[in-house]
Amino acid sequence: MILGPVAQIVAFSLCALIAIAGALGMATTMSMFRSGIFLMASFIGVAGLFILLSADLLGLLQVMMYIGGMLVMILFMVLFSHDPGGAMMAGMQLPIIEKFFSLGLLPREQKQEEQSQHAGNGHQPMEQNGQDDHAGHADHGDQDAEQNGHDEHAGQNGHGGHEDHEDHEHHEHMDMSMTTPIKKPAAVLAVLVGVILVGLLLLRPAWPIVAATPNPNSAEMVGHLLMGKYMLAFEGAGLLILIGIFGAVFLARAGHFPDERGREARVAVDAQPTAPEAPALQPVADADPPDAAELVGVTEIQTRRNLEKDGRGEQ
Amino acid sequence: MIIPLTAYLIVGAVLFAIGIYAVLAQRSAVMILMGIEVLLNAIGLNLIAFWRFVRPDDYSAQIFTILIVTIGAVEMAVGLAIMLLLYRNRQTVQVDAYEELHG
Amino acid sequence: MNALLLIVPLAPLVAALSALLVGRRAPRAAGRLAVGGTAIALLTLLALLGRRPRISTTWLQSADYTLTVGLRLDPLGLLLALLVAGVGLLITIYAVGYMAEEQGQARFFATFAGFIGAMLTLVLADSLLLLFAAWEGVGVASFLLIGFWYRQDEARRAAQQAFLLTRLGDLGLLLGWLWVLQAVGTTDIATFLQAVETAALPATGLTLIALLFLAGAIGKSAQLPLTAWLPAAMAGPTPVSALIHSATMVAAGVYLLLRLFPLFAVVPLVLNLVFWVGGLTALFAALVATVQTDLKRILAWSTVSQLGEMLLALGLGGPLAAAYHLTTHALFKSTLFLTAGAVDHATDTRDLRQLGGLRRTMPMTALVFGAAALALAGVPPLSGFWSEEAILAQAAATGPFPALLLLLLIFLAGIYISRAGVAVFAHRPDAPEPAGHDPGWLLLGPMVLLALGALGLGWLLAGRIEAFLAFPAEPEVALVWRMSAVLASLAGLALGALRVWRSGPVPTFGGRPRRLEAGLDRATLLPARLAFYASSVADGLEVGFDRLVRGLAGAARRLAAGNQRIEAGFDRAAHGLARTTRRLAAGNERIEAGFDHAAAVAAGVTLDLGRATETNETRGISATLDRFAGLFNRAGGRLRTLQSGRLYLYTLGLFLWVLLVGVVGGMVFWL
Repeated sequence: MILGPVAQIVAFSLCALIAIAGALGMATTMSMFRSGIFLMASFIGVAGLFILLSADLLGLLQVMMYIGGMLVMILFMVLFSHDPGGAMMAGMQLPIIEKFFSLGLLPREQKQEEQSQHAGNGHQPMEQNGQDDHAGHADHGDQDAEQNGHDEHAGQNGHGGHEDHEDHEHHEHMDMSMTTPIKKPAAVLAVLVGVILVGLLLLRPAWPIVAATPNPNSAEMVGHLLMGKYMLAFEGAGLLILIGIFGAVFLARAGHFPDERGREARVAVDAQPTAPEAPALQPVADADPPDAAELVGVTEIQTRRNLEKDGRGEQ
Repeated sequence: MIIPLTAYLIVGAVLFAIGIYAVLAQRSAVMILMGIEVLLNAIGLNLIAFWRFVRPDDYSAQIFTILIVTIGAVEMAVGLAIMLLLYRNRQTVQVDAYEELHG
Repeated sequence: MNALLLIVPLAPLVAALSALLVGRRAPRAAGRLAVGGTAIALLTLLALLGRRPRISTTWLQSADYTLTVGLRLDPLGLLLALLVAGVGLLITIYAVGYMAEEQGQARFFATFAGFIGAMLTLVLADSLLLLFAAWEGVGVASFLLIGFWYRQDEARRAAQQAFLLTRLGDLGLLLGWLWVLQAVGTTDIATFLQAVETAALPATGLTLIALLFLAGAIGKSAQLPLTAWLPAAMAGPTPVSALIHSATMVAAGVYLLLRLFPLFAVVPLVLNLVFWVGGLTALFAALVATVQTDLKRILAWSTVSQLGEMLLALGLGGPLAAAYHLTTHALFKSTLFLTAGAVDHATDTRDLRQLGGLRRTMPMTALVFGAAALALAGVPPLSGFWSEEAILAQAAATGPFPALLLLLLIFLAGIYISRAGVAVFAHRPDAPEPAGHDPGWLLLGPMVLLALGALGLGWLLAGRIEAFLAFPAEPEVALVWRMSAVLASLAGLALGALRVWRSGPVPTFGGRPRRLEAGLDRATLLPARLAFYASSVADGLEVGFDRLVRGLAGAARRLAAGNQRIEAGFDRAAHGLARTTRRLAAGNERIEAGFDHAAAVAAGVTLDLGRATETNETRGISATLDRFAGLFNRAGGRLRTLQSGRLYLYTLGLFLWVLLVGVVGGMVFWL
């Protein structure tokens, strides 16, 4: 599809903005759910860029695979997390970017009050809260405040790392923050990498660019290549996906010992493999009285089966 | 082709930097996976941009990108499965907590 | 004036008490006190010469009985008191020198002065009670003085023997004066004698009383059968022998008979007995004296013999002769004893067989001894001659037998005394070289004075004593008897001297008299034995009854003891078991202790080695290793911070590495 120059510039700017802003929002917002949404926006932006670059198939694949599959999976996982809505961090002092992308988040108790009072419209009090917050701490500078807080975390982690196996309270405290103690070095590094890359790009603009226009029917070309030249890679990718699916299913399924109770049962089985009073043993013993070794084996198997049954029952 | 190659590459570089930041700065495994996806996206964008402007006749770049996407999908699936398992055992997805093997 | 009489016995007694009190601090003062006390008594007596003071008081009056206590100075008392005080004074002075180096001077002189006091009381007593008390006091003093060297076995035994044997006689005296008290109602001697003379008392009673008094006299004067204690008493110090056992105390028996002569005069049977007792004693003792080898024992037996002569004279009814002989005998016998003491002091022995030739080294002593010996032998005109002549006159008046007996006694006396004198002082070729010398004047003075008395007193008193004493005058003696006595005396002296000169100090008449001595000893012990048996019979009855009672009690006890023994047996068995077990345990313990010890030693050695090793390791190897380990530890500690377990740090490192590689690679690529 051929667009005019203005349309191209507008489309590129929009897609690039969406991709970058989405990525930035994903990285900086306090709400993991928002992160997922921002990531979706970023994927969409990148997909637009793909389409702008005449890679129609890849653009569609991007949208289908990432947004349709992976992002759903990610959002599903986000729900496992401790504070997917970012309510804990909502009232904190935040840098400007994070605050921008976290705008509108409410602390948990206020949010509950708000939900009970104002059913649909939560923006008004949220903004007032945010303004009040800012008014109170305007002079200190947000960076400094945030830096202090992270320094404290760094100190704690530095010590905590040596004191390993922190108890539950410590984990609770750690969960307060969305970010690691090296957020600032990470930011510096990221900026550095970005600056270097951009600098390199700007300093060496001479790329062997050809004016040729690719075949608009890219799907056909890709299909031919996949079935011809990259047949092995295609099959390998397919195998990889298969194995990945198997692995993911294998890891994520409840398994033999889905919880503490199951593990304790396993320990008990290891400790007393004979389990002579197990009622499940009775029919086997009646049918064919085995010797001691066989009995042990049978008993273990029987017990495992029972456990598995239990596990399934729980699932 | 009003838009130069460098513009796309710059977008890719910025995405890459943001991905790096996300991977480094986020404590949650889910967020790290998201950062990785951003990184992969930036790479894919670079690949496609180079394909379009340097070798538009060779569609191998698209194949390569497709593979990257595939691997990314698999990685995401496996990573999420690992996360799920870890969450079951540790009741948390904060990567800070996974430090049993620290020195 | 009468009160002065009290001073006579009291002065020595007070001196004795003060000597006892002072003596502990100043032993020397005791002797001077005794001398002073005796001297005062003597001076008081001299002041009372010619007077007849009398002090008498009733001590106790109970119904018909009156116990009187009193002193009375009559001629007999004055004679004896002068004798006691005079001889006592001289011998006390002698004793001061003789006992100078002895321990216990205070005891000695206190007893000595006490004896003199008691003796003066005895001779001055006007009461049988007081006489008896003084008599006992004299006996006690004698006992103490004989046993003065109480550490010597011989002295102790002699003291006991003397005391107990005289006690037998004292028993007679006690019974006698108690009978007198019962018969007369008073203890006053004058009253009693007046009653005797007036024949107010039955003859039988008087005879028995006389016998009892005779028993007392026999005991005190060592007559048969109680002779043995006197020779044994020679174990005491020589001054004691001189004063008590020759001059004074042994004369107390004779004095008692003299004092009570009116009593004996009315009982001729007893008087006859006195004659026989005295005669036999004198004869036997004289014979025994011829066999003795101990100088003091010779003198002791001689004393017994002479006392026997006095009793003989008394028995013949001659109290005057007895008193005469008593006086002269006291002088010459004490002189002899003093010379014997001097010899003993100088040569440390009294054995005739070891002595000899002392005439050269101790001429004065020899002279004194010779004078006294001649006086004893009755050589005229010495004192012994006069007194023995008086006795002889009495004997001749009675009959030829007593006179012959007396001649024999004179003959024997000459033998034993010349034997002793020649053996000690005359030179004998076979005798050992004489040692010693004449004693100092403190000893020699009294000896010489006494010797002078012994030489001259007889002559001095001759013809005067009849007027002095209130006894009937003795009859005239025939010249034949007088010459016979002198001859007997000289013959005896010559024979004794000749025997010794020829064959040394062997018994003059062989060994038979020695058997006689043993017989006398046995005879002495006979009454004691009899008394003992009598008491034994009573004892036996008592013991028999006792035994019966005890037998009953013993049977019961034996039954109980049987049970006890069984129990004790069990007990002992249990004890044995326990002891054996304990011993086994102790053995085990000891073995274990040994092991323990060994283990402890081994452990100690090991410990020391370990300590040394430890020190070595700690300071050397260990420290080095520790330093290495510390190095690794510190390095590891630094390195381990890299492995923080934080995923973001790993990714940060990864990306930093990539960035570094990129930058470096880009720069290399470009430059």
